[in-house]
Amino acid sequence: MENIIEAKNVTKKFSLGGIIKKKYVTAVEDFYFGMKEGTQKVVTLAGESGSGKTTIANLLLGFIRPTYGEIRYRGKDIWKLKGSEWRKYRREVQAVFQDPYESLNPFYKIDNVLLEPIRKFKLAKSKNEAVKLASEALYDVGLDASEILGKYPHQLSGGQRQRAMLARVFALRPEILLADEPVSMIDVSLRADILRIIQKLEKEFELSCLYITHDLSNAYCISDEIIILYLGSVMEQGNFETIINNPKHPYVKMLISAVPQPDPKNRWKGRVELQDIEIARLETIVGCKFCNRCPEAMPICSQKRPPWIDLEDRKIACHLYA
Amino acid sequence: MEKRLLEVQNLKIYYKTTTLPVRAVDGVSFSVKKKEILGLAGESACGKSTLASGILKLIVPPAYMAGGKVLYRGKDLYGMSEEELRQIRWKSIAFSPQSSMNALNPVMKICGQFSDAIEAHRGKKRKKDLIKHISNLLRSVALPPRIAEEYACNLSGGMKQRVVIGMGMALDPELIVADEPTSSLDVVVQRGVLEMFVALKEKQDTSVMLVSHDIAILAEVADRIAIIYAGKIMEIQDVMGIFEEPLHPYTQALIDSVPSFKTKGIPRSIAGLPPDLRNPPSGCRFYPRCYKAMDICRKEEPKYDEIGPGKFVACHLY
Repeated sequence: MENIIEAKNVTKKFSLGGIIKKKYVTAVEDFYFGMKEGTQKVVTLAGESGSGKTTIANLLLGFIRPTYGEIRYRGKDIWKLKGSEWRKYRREVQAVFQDPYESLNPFYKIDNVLLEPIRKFKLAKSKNEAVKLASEALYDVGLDASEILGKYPHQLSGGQRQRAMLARVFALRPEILLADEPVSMIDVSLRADILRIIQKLEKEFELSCLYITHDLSNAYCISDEIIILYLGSVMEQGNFETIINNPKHPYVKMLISAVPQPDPKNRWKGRVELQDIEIARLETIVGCKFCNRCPEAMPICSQKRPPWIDLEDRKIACHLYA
Repeated sequence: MEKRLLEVQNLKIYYKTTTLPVRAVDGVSFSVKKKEILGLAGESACGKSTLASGILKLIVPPAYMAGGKVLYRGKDLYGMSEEELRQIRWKSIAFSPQSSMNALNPVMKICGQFSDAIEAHRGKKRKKDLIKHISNLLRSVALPPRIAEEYACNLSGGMKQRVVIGMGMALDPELIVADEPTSSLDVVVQRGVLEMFVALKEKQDTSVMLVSHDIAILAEVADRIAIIYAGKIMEIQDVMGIFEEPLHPYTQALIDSVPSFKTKGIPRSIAGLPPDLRNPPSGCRFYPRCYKAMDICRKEEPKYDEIGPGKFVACHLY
């Protein structure tokens, strides 16, 4: 099956300035990711802040150019796509962002975010048909078109705004949805609704979703697979349930044990060591990026990048399993 | 009988508007014991932050106190003069605000901000002693002492948050009121910060009032949990009771909305929105969203009562 979207060994470096000798921060390093047509699954891309999650989203959406490597849409580099191909890519790969208030233009009514893409991608023949399509999409996300259309973003609640953004995805029926922290700005009690809409999208349109988040417990509800990033590199990748129940990478172990669970009978045991993550990022690390915080570090860890190892049930980047 | 450090009695804090006042905290009573972590949980816009700042009388207009008392060691904070209050703030009760990102002075080094607070309460100190004190404080929040020479802009979010908590601890307060201390932190740092509160409680008998929207973090560290909804306390119990036998339907709904690794699948959300606090529903404020609502809930406000040892609830079911 063809990969609809693929990141091939993508590296992104950001310049930190410096006149004679330029300094760089490597936000994403040697990242590979592929999503096949009609696989219908939700993949979580998880990591702490500064691990490169949003950079990957921006790369996949063509907002920024990779320093090395290629982002491919149906086998072609997205930076070399021509007119009609580019439009097709734009339609098939849709995104939902963290703060719905920031993604909406305050001067335009909500209608605009739904009707504009319908017009642009010529999904409707007449204005009436377009409005009908938009109303159906709003109904699909649990909103009443008569209450929403004609209003400005500030007149809606946060949950309604995020649902309106998802209604657009319903209207466009893309192949891929990129959801960058879609629930983190939404009140805890309403998050489940948004997750349910994403799940419905996945089931009804056989769409695949890359769910980018730092919140593992919400991601677990709807995801099949997980990719865990640390400082721009993938640490562990595989089936979500397998990894949650039996994490192997020392970083992933630490991360999963720190996720608070609503169960006072099984509280955290021991204490975590807090270290300076900022420093680790700026220093040029030759070996494993996690080695200075790793409780199981060996001498080789600080000397050599760990290889990407295929275990039976997952992939992992750690010298312990080499 | 455990000693009560702080007692809030029927506290009311309203916000003035052009029409009716917003009753953000409307008749709240609870106490904080010595050496305990009291969690305060609820949805957003339910008065959590107003209550947290109201305890130290840190409310600014248009907010105003509309009634009630806050007793610290038997003395009402709202009856004190500003000077008396100043003596208690920070030294006895410290407050760690929600937006710690903005709580630090951007044009002053971290050590300067620490020494300001210390010298304001304990008088002029020798520079050497100050540096030693600050280094110890920073170390206790797992930060390297060199941070003292940095400006706030050079620190990451987690570091700033820890600096603010470290400042809260600077004068060995008996109670720290922490408003969403970890809401912007990564999970590993969040765990570290929360464990710091537990360590403080165990080593220095400090009490902590931990305000959070995330009931899962309270499950990890709190001793007792108070559930607040629409400006009123719905239930207070010890943490086991809250999770094992929640009394109020709202508590149950709140727990059900939290995802967990144990069960795959999307948790249940709470239908509807918190009410407009200018004009809250008559009777129980939760009844429009309550799945166990009865006729009486609409008409009569439930009494907030102790139904078992240490179990307080405001619900007609009991």
